[in-house]
Amino acid sequence: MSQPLFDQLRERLLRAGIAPRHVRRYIAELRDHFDDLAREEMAAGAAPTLAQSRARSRLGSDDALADVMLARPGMRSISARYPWAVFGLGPIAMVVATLVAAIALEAVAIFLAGKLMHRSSPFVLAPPPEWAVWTIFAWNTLATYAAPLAIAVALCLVGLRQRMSATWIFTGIVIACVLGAFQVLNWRDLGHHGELSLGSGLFPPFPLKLVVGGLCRAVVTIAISAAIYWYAIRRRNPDSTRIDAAASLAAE
Amino acid sequence: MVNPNFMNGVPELLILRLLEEQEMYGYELVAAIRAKTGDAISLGEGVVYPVLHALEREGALKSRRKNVNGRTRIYYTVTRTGEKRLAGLVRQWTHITETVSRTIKETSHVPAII
Repeated sequence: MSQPLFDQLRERLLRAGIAPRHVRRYIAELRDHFDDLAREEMAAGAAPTLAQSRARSRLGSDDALADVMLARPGMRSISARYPWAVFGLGPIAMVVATLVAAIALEAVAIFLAGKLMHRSSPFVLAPPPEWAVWTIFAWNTLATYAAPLAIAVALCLVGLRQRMSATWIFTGIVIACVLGAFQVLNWRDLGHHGELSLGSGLFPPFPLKLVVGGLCRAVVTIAISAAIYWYAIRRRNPDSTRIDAAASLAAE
Repeated sequence: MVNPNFMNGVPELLILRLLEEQEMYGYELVAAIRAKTGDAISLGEGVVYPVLHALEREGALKSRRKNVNGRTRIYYTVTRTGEKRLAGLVRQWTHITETVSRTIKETSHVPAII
C-alpha cells in the first residue's frame, strides 16, 4: 500500500529544532497508523484511493500534526536549544580532549614499551626500533591532523542532520579546524631519555613555523569540511543547485 | 468536542486511563478513545503520538517494540509514575467537572434580572 511520505512534515519539524530521533519515530508511527486506517476504510467498503484519502484526513492536517509536536519544548534537540554550546564550546572541548587523550595514551604506551624492552637489562639503553618510531609518528599525525578534521566533519553532519543554519555549522567547523591545525605533537628519542612535546602556534612566542603551518592546515581542513558540507547538501536536495542557478538567471 | 480550550490535559488523562487497563499501540489506543467516548472527542488521530512520546519522556509511560503479524508495533504501558500522575489528573478533572456542574445548576435557578 502506498503511504504518504510526510516529507514536508519531517522537514518542518527538523527545521523547528525537534530532535531527529523524535521526528523519525513520529513519522514511522504516523505511517503505520495511516496504513491501519486505510485498511479499516477498505474493510468498510471504500475503494483504495478513497480509503487512503480518508485515512490521511483522519490522521490530521500537517499543521495540526506539527503544532502538537512543536508545543513540547522537551522534544527539541540539544543543538537547537544550545547551539552556542554544541557548535561553539563543543569543538574546543573535543579538540582539547583529543589532544589530552592522545598524549596520555602515548605516554603510557611509551612507558610500558620501555619497561618491556629493558626488563632484562634496565641499565642498557638501546635506540627504539624503527617500527616504534613510525607508530608514534603516525599516532601524533592522527591526533593533530586527522582528529580536528574528523571533529569538523562530525559537527558538519550533526548540524546538517538537525537542519542547523550554515552559520552555526561553519562556526563549529572553523573553530575545530583552526584550533586543531595550530597544534603539533612531537616525540624525540634523545638517547638517554625520550621527549614528548606539544607545540602551539596560538600562544606566545608564536613560532613562525607553527603559525604558517597551522594556517595552511586550517585552510586545507576547512576546505575539505566545506566540500563535505556542499556534497551532503547536494545529496539531500539534488535540485538545490539547479534551483539556485535558475533563480540567479531569473534575477538577471 | 473539538474546542481546544476544553481539551487541555484531556488527551493525557484518557491515554493514561486506557493504558492503565492494558498495553496498546497508537492505532488501538485511538480506536479505544473513540469507542469509550462515543466519538464525543474527535481530534486528528496522529496528534496522539507527541502526547505518548512526551509522557514516555516524563517517565509516565514505557514502550516496547513487538512484532505482530509481520509488523513492528510500538506498545505503550503505564509506569508507577504514570499511575500517580493519572490519580492526580483524575482528582483535578473530577473537581473541575463537579464545580462546573454545580455552577451550571445554581445559575439555572437564578431568575433573570431585566
